[in-house]
Amino acid sequence: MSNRLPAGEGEVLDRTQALSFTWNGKKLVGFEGDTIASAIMANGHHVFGRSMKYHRPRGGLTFDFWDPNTTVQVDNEPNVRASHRKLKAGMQVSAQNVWPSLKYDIKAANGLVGRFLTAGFYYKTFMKPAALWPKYEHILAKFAPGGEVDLDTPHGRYDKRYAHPDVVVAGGGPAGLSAAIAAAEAGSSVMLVEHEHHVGGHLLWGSEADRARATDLVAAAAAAGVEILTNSTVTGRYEDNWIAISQRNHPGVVERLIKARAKTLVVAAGTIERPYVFKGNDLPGVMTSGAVRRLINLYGVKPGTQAVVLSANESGDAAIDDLRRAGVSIARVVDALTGERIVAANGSKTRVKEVILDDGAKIKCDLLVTAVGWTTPTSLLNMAGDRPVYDANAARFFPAGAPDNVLATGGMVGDGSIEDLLEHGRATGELAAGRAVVVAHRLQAATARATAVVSPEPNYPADERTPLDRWPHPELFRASTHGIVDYSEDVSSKDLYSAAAEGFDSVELLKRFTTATMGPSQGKLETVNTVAVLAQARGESIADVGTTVWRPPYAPISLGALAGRINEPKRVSVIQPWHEANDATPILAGQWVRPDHYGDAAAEVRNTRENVGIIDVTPLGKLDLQGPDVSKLLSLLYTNKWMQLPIGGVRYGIMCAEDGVVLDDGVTARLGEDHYLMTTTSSGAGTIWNWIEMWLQTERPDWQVHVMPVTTGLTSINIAGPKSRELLSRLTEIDLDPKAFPYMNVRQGTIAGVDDCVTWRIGFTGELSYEIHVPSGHGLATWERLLAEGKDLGVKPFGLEAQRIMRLEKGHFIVGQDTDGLSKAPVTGLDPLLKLDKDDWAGLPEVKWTLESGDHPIIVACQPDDGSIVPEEAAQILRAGTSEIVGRITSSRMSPTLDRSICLAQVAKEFAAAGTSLEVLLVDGHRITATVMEHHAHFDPEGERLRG
Amino acid sequence: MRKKCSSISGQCHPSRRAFKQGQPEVCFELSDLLAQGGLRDVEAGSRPSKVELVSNGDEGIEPAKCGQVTHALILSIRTDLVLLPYRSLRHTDSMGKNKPPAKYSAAGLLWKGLRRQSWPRVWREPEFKSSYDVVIIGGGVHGLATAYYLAANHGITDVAVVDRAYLGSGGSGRNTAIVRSNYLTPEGVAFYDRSLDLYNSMSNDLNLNVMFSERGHLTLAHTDSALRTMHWRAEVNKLQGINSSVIDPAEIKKLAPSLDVSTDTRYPIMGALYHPPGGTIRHDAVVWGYARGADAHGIDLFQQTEVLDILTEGDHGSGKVTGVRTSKGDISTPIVVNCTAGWASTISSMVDVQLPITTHPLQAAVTEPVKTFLPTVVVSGSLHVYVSQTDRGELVFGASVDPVATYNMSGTLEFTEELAGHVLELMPGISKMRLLRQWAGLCDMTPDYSPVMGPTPVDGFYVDVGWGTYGFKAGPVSGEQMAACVANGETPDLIKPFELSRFTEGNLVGEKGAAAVGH
Repeated sequence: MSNRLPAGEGEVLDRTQALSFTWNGKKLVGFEGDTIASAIMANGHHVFGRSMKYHRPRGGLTFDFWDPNTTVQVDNEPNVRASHRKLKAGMQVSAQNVWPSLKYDIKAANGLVGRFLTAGFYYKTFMKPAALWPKYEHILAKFAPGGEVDLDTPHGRYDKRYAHPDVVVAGGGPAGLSAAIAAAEAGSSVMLVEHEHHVGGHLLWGSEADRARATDLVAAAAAAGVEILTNSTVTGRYEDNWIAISQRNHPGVVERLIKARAKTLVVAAGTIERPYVFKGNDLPGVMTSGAVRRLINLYGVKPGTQAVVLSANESGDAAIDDLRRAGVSIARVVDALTGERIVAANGSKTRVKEVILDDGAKIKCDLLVTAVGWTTPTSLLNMAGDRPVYDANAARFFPAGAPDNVLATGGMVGDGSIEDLLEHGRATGELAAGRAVVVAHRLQAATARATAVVSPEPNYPADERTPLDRWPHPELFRASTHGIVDYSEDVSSKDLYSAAAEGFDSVELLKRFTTATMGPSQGKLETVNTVAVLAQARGESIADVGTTVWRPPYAPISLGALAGRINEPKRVSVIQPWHEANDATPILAGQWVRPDHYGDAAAEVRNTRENVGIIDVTPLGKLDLQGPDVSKLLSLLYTNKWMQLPIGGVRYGIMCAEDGVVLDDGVTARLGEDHYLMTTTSSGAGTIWNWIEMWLQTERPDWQVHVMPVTTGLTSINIAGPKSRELLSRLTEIDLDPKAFPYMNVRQGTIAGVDDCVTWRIGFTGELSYEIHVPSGHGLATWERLLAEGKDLGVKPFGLEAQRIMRLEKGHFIVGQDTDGLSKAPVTGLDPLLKLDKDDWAGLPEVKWTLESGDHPIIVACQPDDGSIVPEEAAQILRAGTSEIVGRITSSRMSPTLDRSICLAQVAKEFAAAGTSLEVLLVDGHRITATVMEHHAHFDPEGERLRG
Repeated sequence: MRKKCSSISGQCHPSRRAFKQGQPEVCFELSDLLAQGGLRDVEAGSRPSKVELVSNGDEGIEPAKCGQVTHALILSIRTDLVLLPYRSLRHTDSMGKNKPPAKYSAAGLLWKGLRRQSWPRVWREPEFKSSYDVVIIGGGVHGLATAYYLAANHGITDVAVVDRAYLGSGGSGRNTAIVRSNYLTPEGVAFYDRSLDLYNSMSNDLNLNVMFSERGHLTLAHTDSALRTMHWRAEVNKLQGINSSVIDPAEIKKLAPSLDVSTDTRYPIMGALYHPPGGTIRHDAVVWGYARGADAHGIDLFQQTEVLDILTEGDHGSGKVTGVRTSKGDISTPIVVNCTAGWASTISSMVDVQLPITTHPLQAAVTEPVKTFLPTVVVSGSLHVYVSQTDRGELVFGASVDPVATYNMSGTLEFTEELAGHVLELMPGISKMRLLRQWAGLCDMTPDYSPVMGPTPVDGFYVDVGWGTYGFKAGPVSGEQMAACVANGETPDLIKPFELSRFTEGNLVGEKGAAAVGH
């Protein structure tokens, strides 16, 4: 059976393009221009799915974006709004929430026991026996509404765009169009965003004159240079008019997120027609006047054969005309303005059959149209801080006041003829443009620039718009019977009454208890009816009950669009191509990818200890600090003293957070009078930069320090091993003689022909070593030169693993591995570095207290008595024979140099003395013993190799 | 299809006494009748001696029920609905203030359903008294649990809980409702394990199903160092008797098939700490359960009641509490417990108690519902995201606190963008799911990421504040311990480490290692 009408004037269909698709496996045909829902309706199907709780059959209600009843699965995409999404050939469309089929649904049995399943019933049962709750929960979860996610869905192409329009207009109805045109003509760059597929708003399904007017407006907008985005939604208004726009029809992209910094936002979102609450209001065949007007005029679909129309306004009257024109017989017009009311509707499983009026009359019909008033979608205004106020005379909420840079127009703020709306829109557009000019001027004046802006600020235009009228409208929310208030959540007015009687009688509590307004339309259709029913239940006015706060997004937006192109940054050094070409095994370290080893870490250790090795340590955090107050900054952030560091000196330091916990460590060199280079751990680079900026910006704003992160600006290479001096001397003129360039010193000079390199003599590996920092453009060349020049010296690269082994042999701790979020500075055992006599440093009071109490764990080196066993880096140290934790192994390796296992551990102080035997619980449950060593360094504790 | 039930004569007479006081009394079953249909043929302001009760549709009202109407005052009539003084629909005095609440059960649902009765109020609307033994500021989980345990464990019932909005309007209703106990320090484990115990038996203790879903909790490791931390936590938990272990990507895939455990992602999943007793809970239900329980013990709950000042005598910052000034009037009381979040420092500064707290927003978001596919809670520290799917099918997301201190709860676009990117990194198949709603709550952060609990230098002023991002998990045990603290005048051992004095005496607590990994 086809419901398709003969071609009409204003329809958006291209009847020459037939599109075939399937609906629940059945092959149907629609036209280009159809929405999925209009095509299904045109084919004679009226039921689109079943409701969440009672699995009642549901038909289209509003046939626009907000229709709660026409959500379907399309191919692998769940929750597609069939009343909005355009039909495409080959779509496989199926109903959601049905089992086993739309026609026969077993869960519909819930409808029979509905009286036991009142709102929030689950809070009152399934408690005993407690053991059965998981089973109950499993069953409850089966009732989760919505479609199915195909977990193999590939990440499609999503994109983002940044825009800086003067004015964004949200809503392309007559007022929005008029505002956009006026703003553009006043010189603003304007972006007009329309939710639907065509601009024009309700003019599109209006009279011939209305449609002609829409065409003119669109032409005028184009001529004025307005950028028109259709099938796009302003999803959010954030601080300072940071506007999020979801664009669903950008070519080649599934969905695009446009981020616009608008100087003025005009909200012209129109109004949303409110459903009426009465018994049977969710039967298929009950719909709003807007729904039938759209179906008939835009999509050439006949919504029924015999209609009852409840009309309280001009939209209902226009629907009657449309229905007559479409050949639908009007069984009865119920004129709400004269006090006539409907009481209930009865129907079969799939269609409304009769309507009962308050005079007892029963009217047969298969279509019941309601036109009972409007909801103002003030969501975007809410986000700007507006709290709408109810006007009983007009029976709807109105905005009460948003910031100066957000203006509302159109149906949101009042009623009027098309001329009135256009005039208000025009005035709003001019105001928006005028204010945008002032904002632009202020932005320019506030920005430091070579030539100061000297022109006087233009006058800030006051709001002198003539307000729109507010036409009186009867307050029609609920008939004398109970019906569905929230269609997507299956919440009835009766549920709301019971919940209110139970004490959930403020709108927020009611919402949370019943879940009304929490569904996919987020209350666009439901909020006002919910508030009205609560007001009835409480015997208060709607104004007293108030409304809920609408939160972003205005309309749901896909995770794909928000994410855009998946682009997790990956950081590599400029030498990485060489590493890859030389079979380095990569390791992930935070954002960095770096070589773990080049095949055999133990061999790399031996070569470095015997000859010379080079390692790419570019990820090391590097901050260039300049200014007269750098030494004060260092003294504040490091635990040790910095005021006396000579130029050319390098010093090691520990930083603490204010709770005394070790935050980071590293060395800092003084390159000049007011010039320092700080290194941080690789993972701490960002944190320390933030930390320094926090202190400089909020605590010590008077200090003159300039901070520049240069981590990737400099390629860092550590040359380690007994032959490192010989190797480096072949590439530089810097005097490397131990007397001229002793341990813990820094020199600047030319290396491998590259000027301005920084070289410092330090040693994490325990070997004689030089760390060179080369401008990154020369990093790879320098690396290759080192390998070429040192061939005869046996130079080989080594990776992170070899470095970790060597630092462990040397007993150096790693922040975050050997310390943790609980380790205060004294845990490191480096008490001489904790200068309690300094005036102040971050963490000082806490560290002082900790040292005074002496009650803290401490890092020790230990060796398993059986040197062939390497305890895991997590193995717990227990008080012998008990399960009381007294410490843990924090680092462990097999030492290629000593040929036995070695460890660092954190232990309670009483276990820290050299020679103490520790009981270590391995992850497999076995216990072994280990002995605490005298020094942290397992190898060369005197540091002779390092200082030679 | 409207059926008329038999009219009631001589039973709806206004009470002379009630009218004098301007407080008409209506037996609470009347609300039930109203829910069914309504009253007709009566006029505004009338004192009907005879009311015709009309039901709607098929659902008739049993004449027997009609007989229970005692008296009513009709305030106004509008077109098709009857407005009754709903606020007067309360338990009549004869039912007693301390009457235990109607017991929730399947049988009760069945019985009420059959008889078409509605349930009594979940908590009363008490009269505002001028004096209480204890006033608790903040009607969230912490405040209500404290009130409940004061009554249930210590017999202290002359207690008022005041909240400037509705119950559970703050962090209690804004968190992502994840609970777990696999912390690192013995103190942390003991504390949260007790909380988890209380959550476990809460549905039956409070006779309200808080829908504790013990669905398991996965903390993902994407790096060697994260994996090392997971092993550490697992080893500690094993010794403490907490069920938690490190599992490999294949096992992770079995538990949560939507996760991408392949090795070619930017942050490959290398393993996870699996904590089967962790899970989610219906946070609002916890609030309502404690509120209902406290109310049943006679504790008065005042919503929309803002605290304007705390009255003291003696020196500033070290005097003695004498009362509370609220938007509804003054209350004299010797004991005030500050159980607020977001405004903890504002309230405390009313008695010149300075708290080392900065307030940061924590953002969260939820998607449209889809059929359930994610059976566990998934947390990724590296990607700063945690996610679970409710029984309603929505994915609930949270992240770390915003870096900037502010009271602004409007949420940011950037949060949703980063969140979506990270989530799709974990679960690439859900790019077509849509974000439905975002919101923010306020977190009071202390320097050592631990709460401040117990007495203060002001006699009678107690705090239970500074809960950072993990206040919900700790709600029950905090309430239990704070109640003991107030009742016994002595800080219980379990919360001793959290006293305010630690900031001046050098005993900062460290649960940062555990708390910072969050949820």
